[in-house]
Amino acid sequence: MAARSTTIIEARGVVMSFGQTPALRGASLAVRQGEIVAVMGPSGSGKSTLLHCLAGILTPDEGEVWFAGQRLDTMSEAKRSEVRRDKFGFVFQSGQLVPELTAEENVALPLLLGGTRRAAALAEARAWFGRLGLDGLGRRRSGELSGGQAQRVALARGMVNGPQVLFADEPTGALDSMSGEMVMSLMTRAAREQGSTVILVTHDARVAAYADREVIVRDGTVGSLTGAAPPSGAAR
Amino acid sequence: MIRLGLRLAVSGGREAVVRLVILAASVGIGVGLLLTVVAAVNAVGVQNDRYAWLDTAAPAAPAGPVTATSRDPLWALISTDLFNGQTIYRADVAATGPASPVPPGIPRDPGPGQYYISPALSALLRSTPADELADRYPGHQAGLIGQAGLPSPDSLVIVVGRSVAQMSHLPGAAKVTSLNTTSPSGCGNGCEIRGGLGPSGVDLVLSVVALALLLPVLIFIGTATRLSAARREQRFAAMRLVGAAPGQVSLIAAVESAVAAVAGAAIGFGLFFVLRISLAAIPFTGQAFFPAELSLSLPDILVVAAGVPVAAVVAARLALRRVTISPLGVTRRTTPAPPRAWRVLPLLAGLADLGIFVVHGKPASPALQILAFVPGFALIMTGLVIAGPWLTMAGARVLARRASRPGALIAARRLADDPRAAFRAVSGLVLALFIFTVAAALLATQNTKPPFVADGPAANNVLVDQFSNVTEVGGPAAPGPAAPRSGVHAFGSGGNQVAVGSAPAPSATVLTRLRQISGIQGIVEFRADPGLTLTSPAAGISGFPAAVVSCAQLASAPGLGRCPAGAAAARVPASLTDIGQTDLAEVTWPAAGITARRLDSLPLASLEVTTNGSQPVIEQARTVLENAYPTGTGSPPPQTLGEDTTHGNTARNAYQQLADVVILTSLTIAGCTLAVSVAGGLADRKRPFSLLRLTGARLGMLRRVIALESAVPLLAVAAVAIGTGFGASAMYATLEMHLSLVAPGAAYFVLTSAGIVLALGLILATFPLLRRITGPETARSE
Amino acid sequence: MSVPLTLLGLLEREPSHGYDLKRDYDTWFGRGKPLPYGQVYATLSRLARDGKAIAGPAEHGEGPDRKRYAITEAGIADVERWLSEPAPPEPHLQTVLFAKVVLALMLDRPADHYLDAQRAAHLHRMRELTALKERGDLMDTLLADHGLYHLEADLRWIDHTAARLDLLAQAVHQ
Repeated sequence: MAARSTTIIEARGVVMSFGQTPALRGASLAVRQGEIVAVMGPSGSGKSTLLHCLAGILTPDEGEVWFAGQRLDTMSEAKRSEVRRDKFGFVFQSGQLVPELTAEENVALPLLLGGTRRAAALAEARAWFGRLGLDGLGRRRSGELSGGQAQRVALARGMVNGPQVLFADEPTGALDSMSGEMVMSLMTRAAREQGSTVILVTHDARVAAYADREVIVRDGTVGSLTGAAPPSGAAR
Repeated sequence: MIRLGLRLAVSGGREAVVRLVILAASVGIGVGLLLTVVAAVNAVGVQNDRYAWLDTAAPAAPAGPVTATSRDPLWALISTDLFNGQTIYRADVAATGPASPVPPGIPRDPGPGQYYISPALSALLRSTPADELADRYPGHQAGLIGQAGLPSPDSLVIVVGRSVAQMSHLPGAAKVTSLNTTSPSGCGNGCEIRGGLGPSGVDLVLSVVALALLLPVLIFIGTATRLSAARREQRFAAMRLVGAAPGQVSLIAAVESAVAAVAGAAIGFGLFFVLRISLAAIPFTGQAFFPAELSLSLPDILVVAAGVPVAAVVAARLALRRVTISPLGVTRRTTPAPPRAWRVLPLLAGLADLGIFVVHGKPASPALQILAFVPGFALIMTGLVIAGPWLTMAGARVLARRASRPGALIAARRLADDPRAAFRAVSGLVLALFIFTVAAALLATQNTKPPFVADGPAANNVLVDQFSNVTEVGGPAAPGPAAPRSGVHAFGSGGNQVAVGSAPAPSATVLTRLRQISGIQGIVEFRADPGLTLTSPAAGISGFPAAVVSCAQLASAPGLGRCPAGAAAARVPASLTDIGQTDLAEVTWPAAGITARRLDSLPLASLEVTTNGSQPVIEQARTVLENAYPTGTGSPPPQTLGEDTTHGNTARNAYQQLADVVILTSLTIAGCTLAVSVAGGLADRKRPFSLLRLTGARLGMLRRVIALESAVPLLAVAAVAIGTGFGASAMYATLEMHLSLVAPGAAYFVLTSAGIVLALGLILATFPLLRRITGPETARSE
Repeated sequence: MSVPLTLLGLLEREPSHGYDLKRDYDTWFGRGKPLPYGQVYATLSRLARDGKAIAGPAEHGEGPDRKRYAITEAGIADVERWLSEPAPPEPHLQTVLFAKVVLALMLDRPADHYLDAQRAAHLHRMRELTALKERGDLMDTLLADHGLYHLEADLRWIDHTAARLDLLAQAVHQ
């Protein structure tokens, strides 16, 4: 491997509780630029919470979140919204497209919110449609798309502003395995082409297999499965 | 951003458009109602102002040196006349010079033998036989009275021109240097209220009425705003996730609401201007308005046109505050905190507000009264809406404790989970119940005031021309002639009451003319004999000023009582209209020891003409009497006892009408609110109920759940609303009407129960839809 | 299925006769196919020759030589290495994984760590297979998918087992 790339996004000792329930107790995770990291763990372990803290959606009770050399958790809500809009992309399991907008408007949304002219934003959106095999679906609304198509639209939206970090939370959770594989394949390929970092929360091993490495969230902390070098399996 | 907001609001698919339409419609109705109320208040003011000149009173005797009159004074005598139950205002005038004041609406004072007449009266004259009406007015028509002199397009007004000599002989005529311009509502000294609404707390009533209409409308708008609220919250959460700043989301939501609000305001203005003409014809005050008077001032228009969108934007902002804080506002579905007990405080505060005044007495001036009571009512009504969720919660807890079947348990838990949403559906109805209760209770209370109901055979057959007034000795002068009629002296004294005023006996010509009218059955002359009193338990009077009557004449009017056997003359009340009882057919008056010659020499206290009761006959008789005895200022025209009591009931009838309008309107709006919230409730229940069905719940149980979910908040809060309604009415009755509250009749209870049942029925009516909308395809994940 | 290492592991619990070892093996790992005596003694001899086990003095009694075997330091090291090192990820690993978990519990070793290490190895292999799918042709993809599905199944079993370790430990120590 080439020279070590820098850490682009990092959580340090994040503690987060919801009411009486502690979700994270001192979770730390450093992700290097260009990496694809799978965040695994049993349900209720706090994986999504960690993702939300890293993305600046939630503010941790204690600890720090750093992105590109800046403290993310102490930024104002307006500043954080800006970061999400320009530097991050999101592909969640469901319920993330705006039903009143067409598919291409949904994809163009981050650009429109950032002030890009409508024509330019839609052109960019349509380019992504082509890359992800969604030609002809631009004018449809989210209710008229299949699950796999909707997730690809979400992926296009996540990539349209050339994000530095793509956050995916169970992106294939509601899809059948064929659609799921297509989405994961497209996602990782697009991310590598753009040099985006991907933080992928999943409990599905086959989805996690698309990542470069995995970490486990257990009991509110982050760990890896092993420190030693893994044995090489018999080549098939 | 704004463009995005517009895009979302207008072309966001069928559901978005439906919501927009409903919201715009509700805002439109609200704005239309608001504009109508404002315009009506304006119109009432303008209309009242036009009564001013008719309320001109004779000037009081000048205390100091007479001010030099630069103008030529006007001889004026203003009186009221009756025709077929309608009031005719009559002004007899004679100008003393070219600069005499001229009544509004006419180019100049009419000369002798001329009159100016209102269009409605002119039409009436043309369509009625002359001896019933036109003969009362000497001369010919010189022109029509313009709008400036008429309170209403239906007003019957006539300005009769006389010569100065004639006027100086008319009893009660006086010279005035200017016509009154103070509206009756501000009438103090120097004007007598003959028409229009006096300073009797009408403004207070109008304020409360406006409140009672506006609050249900606000709730209606709020309910429409909440349609598909969850969906919109979800959509904004998605936008926040991809980086929309809280300010951007607020702006978009504001644009959406503003679009609906502006459309609604346009609809409201449109409705108002289209319906203005029809609305003007509704006699809110007993008289119709000129359509142009039902108008809005520029400030009114600006405030409503600007205020409504602003209010809508604020409402949208409040509804979305959860998601402006965090993009996970919806996905993290934490149960909202249960409503706390402090919610009942505004309601209690409103009741306390009224209660304080019950204990300490109300403020003196009407303006202060408005400041005192209107906030109290406003607090009570908004307090009901605020306390609703807490009461629902309490009801849910009771239900949970007593629930044994799964349906009841599910309903109790769903209610406890989100009591606000459950109450919202029925909030409009609850408010309408409160309003209905208050209106019904106050009406019932008002109607217990001695409703002067004229009964007995004399009530509608006997035309009474009353020349004397019964007043308290030394007390404030009853509204009567400022200057006593000529040849008058006080007569008949009983205790502290004295009869004042009389008229000369009718001439032979008058008697002949009367007898010529077919249908006249008798003429009875009550003669004024000073110093006589009368006690008659049967008539309900004791020590009352008395007149004397010849028994021969009395025999021709059996409805007025009988003479004792063998008597030639009897004592009768000096004023039939002041004794409080109208059925005198069985009364035997005590005998009067007076000779027939002396009887014939006495002046008249009143003249009674017995008719066969048909209206044309009464009008003909009235015409003859008026021409013989011109009605003086402040004296009533010749009228039957029935007409007299009808006149006394006008205020009550006006309030009845107002109450009906308020009840009808608020119930209609409540019905609309319920319909909208039921539709919204259907949509909200689609997903959870279809999931329940999939897991095996039967439709019957789901229906039970819906029924309980709707019934519990409705009944819990309705009970409080009705109770509060009675409480508030009791306090208001004590304060303003000086009466203790009377329970409304059976009709109220029947209607209230019917209303509640109907509301529940409306909810039940959606049950057939339940099967279809909770079908398995609804449970598919989106 | 590594019989020598399994027997060695059983031996680590306590020194035993071959007869006892066979009985325990059949109980826990036999699955209907009892281990032949001959294989047991042959394995034990080999282990003793390699220094992983030591044969005690022969005890005279009925039947063949009843030697008691005990494990040596080298044998313990072997067992430790075997348990802690994940098995190369292949399909049909159930029996090996199962043996390792049970033995680890018997020997009070950190079975959860071993499972984690195995998970890591599996995931690493799955990554390789996934990368193969991305750049390979259709046949490669089919084969890779086959492997991936089996590895996934193993991982699920590992997850389930990891969740039940406490119960298993109780059962094993009865």
